[in-house]
Amino acid sequence: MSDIQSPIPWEIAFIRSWQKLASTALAALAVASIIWDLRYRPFLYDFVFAPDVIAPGSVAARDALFPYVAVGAVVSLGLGVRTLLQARRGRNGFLLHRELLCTGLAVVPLLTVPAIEFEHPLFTALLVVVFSLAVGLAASRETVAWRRLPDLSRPQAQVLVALAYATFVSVIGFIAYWRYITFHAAVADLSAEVNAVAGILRHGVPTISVGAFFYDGKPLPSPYFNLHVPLADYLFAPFYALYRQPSSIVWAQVLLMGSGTFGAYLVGHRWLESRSGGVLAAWLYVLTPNVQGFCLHDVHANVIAIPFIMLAVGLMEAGHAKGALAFAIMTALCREETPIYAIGLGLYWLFSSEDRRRFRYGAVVIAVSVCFELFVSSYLMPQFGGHPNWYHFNLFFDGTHSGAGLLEALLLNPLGALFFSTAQVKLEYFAISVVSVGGLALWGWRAGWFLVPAVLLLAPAWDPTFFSLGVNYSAPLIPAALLMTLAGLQRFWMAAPASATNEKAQPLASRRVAVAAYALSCALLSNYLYGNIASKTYKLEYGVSPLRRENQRNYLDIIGYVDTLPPYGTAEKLLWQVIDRVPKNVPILTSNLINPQLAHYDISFAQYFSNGNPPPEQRVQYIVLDKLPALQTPSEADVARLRLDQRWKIFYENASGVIFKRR
Amino acid sequence: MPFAGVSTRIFLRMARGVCLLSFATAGCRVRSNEPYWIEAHGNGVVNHVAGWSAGALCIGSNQQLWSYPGPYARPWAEQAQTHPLRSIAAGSDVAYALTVEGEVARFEYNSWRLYEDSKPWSVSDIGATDDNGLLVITAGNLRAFAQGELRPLSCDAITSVAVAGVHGDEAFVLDPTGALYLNADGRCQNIPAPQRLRRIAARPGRLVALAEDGSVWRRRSSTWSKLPVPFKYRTGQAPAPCQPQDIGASLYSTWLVDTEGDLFLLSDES
Repeated sequence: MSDIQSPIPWEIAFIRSWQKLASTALAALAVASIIWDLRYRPFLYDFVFAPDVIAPGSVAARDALFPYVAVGAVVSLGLGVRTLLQARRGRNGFLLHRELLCTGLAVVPLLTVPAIEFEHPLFTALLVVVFSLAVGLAASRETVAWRRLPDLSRPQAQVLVALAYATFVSVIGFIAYWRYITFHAAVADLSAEVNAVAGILRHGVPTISVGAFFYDGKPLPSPYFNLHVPLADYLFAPFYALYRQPSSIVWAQVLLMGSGTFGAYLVGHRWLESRSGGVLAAWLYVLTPNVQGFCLHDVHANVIAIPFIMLAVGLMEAGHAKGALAFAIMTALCREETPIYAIGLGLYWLFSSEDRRRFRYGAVVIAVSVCFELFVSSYLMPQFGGHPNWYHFNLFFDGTHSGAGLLEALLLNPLGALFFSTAQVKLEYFAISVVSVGGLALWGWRAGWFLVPAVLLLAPAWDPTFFSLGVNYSAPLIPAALLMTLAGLQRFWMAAPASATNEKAQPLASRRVAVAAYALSCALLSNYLYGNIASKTYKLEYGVSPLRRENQRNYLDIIGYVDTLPPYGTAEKLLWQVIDRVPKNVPILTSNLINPQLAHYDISFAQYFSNGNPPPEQRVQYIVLDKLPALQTPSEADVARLRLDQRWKIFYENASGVIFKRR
Repeated sequence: MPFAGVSTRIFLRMARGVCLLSFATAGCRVRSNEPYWIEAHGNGVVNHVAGWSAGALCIGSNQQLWSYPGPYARPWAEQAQTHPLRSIAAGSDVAYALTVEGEVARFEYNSWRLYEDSKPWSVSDIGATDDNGLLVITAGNLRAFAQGELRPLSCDAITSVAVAGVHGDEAFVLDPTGALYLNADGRCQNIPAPQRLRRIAARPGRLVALAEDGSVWRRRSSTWSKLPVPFKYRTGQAPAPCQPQDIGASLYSTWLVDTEGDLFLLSDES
């Protein structure tokens, strides 16, 4: 009788448990490192990003790491002995996921260090992915016993999607509105868009006066069509008609941008074959930093194409083809460049499945888009003295600045175009946009047609604003990032068919949990780093310095971001009292700081922006100037000059502003 | 229909909780209404500052005059050059500077005019009033410069080390102990201050002062209030307090330079 099992030899025990021993040691080191990181936070940035530079002051902090490591080593030694003894007793197949999760946690303190996400976006992306992989693995292993993943009921899914939309609208809407009422919105471009929307209600077409320098010697307001064809502004007009203040347009943009949540749900519901998948997709959309950022970079017509594309794709997936077509055509009509966005959508419908109806709809979308683009660029804009602007692009085949020259450069010199696309700013933007869901987009080539607009509109561009999170020019990449991500998610989510046998369904449930955990972890971390919903910072101001009111941190001198939102204090309240006292429907000139708040006037000039001939001051009845301390365009000299000018008298004044009236 | 054992009612409650939490988290992080210092853009390195109607005038590390903000998208603009400068004062649209050789110069319309005969005045500090008048401290005495002559003011009896002009003959001076005096209405009046002061700047209705201990104070309607410490935001670091070195004021703005040469603007004068 030999019932008592003899111990496994030490050598074999080591071979069977070395991974567990190593991962335990790693986890212990990670925990020691995390505690040290939290204790010596000021040294962390240099410790990681300048490891070769040992500042004299940091030596003591570096030395302090050793006691923590020693404690960790003792703990891991104890755990290691236990593991070895278990292996000696015959245990095999140790699980590592908890140790790996602990190890992954080591990156978290670094992510809280100020500004690393914008200073080192590629490295940050790597950290986010590593940590989220550990989360996904842990989720997978912890749920391995789940026999099936229960799906959400229809009301539950509706509540969660509505919650996603409400979160987006209330939080992003609040920040966008706060930005507006605390005078952090900019003339370029909130004033221009408010001017245009108000013009729609007055004249039937978008008009502009704030950009007077474009219309030297011409009567104002002028139709906007020489510069832009922002037909999406017609969607803002009903909101503005209900409440005739620029703030209604700010809120309208948030409401429209948020509506992509529903499109994302429909796409996710179909592609991930479950309501849970749809809800996941909806929250991924809400947490996308770029989508949030577009609502904080004033107001722009082209960004509305993003929710429209999501709705078009979603409705098509849900079987509402006519609704999908309507949103696809609305995508094309948003602004002069959005037909190119819609072409990506049309190509997707043409070639993504063997569906004759989709093919026909895709063909219609492409035909409408091409016709509209030709109409706008060859007829409408020239009719008003304008033309599409190639200023931001410099990749042309033979130096001819035209769409044809750009296409030739892309088609005839693809390697050159590829190399041109590897500029650091472009790679950083790509990393920031794609990492928001852990690079799943790289597996979503099924939706790669949506990259066509990005290739056409971003690859040939040189201007860094095209690659700055939240700036409207950077929008063409976002539909691709979102939809390719969902397509990539589908590949991992649908590892086995839904009708699989029970044996296959079990690992499928934990696999889906893992994929969802990975995607959500990436999305939450990305939102924390680059987004605005309960995030590390708020991305509040856009444009080159010093044309901003704050200066805490900035990215490429384009995005100004702050730790806390600025106050709405006495100065701002007094300034709103001034604004409220400006007589209605009169031509006005304002200081730059307050022009967005008064840009709904038919004739509204900004003091150091509008210029033009005749000079704005000669064209107006009232001049409204703020007295706030300004980093950008101080109004003190103008107030002093107008006080002495016999042609003007003070109509109203308080501590924050003054209204001058022509005598 | 329950999800993972959770009833719809509890589910809705949880949803409401998440909703409230997200709004609260976003809504809580609004700065208090207290004024705060905003660092100027563009990484200028300056030593002295004076406020004027077009922003700030500063003496840069090259001892020449720089203005902030510059024209579109240029935070800093170098102004016409002159002899190396030691100190600067500005009215609403005229500035005065003290050169390292001890001469006084006037800056207007981006050009300099040296007061050739000012070297013998032994000027140690200069001030400017809102109406562009020049005040100087010569051999410890406060003087107003008008029609080519130096005129004694009421605080002549005080040994002065720093001056800040207000309007006309109204001016604040500091004596060597850091005590504050107001020259106005033909009198020289001691003004109680919360600390011994080192640098002062003034405009009608407002005095800002830098104390010996590095604190910054504002006096309005005879009431002093302490201004916050300026913070710098640097990559990889939490906001760090910095040490003020000089202070300047215009009608609507208060400026500060720290010991590392960075310029700050006070957010709120209301």
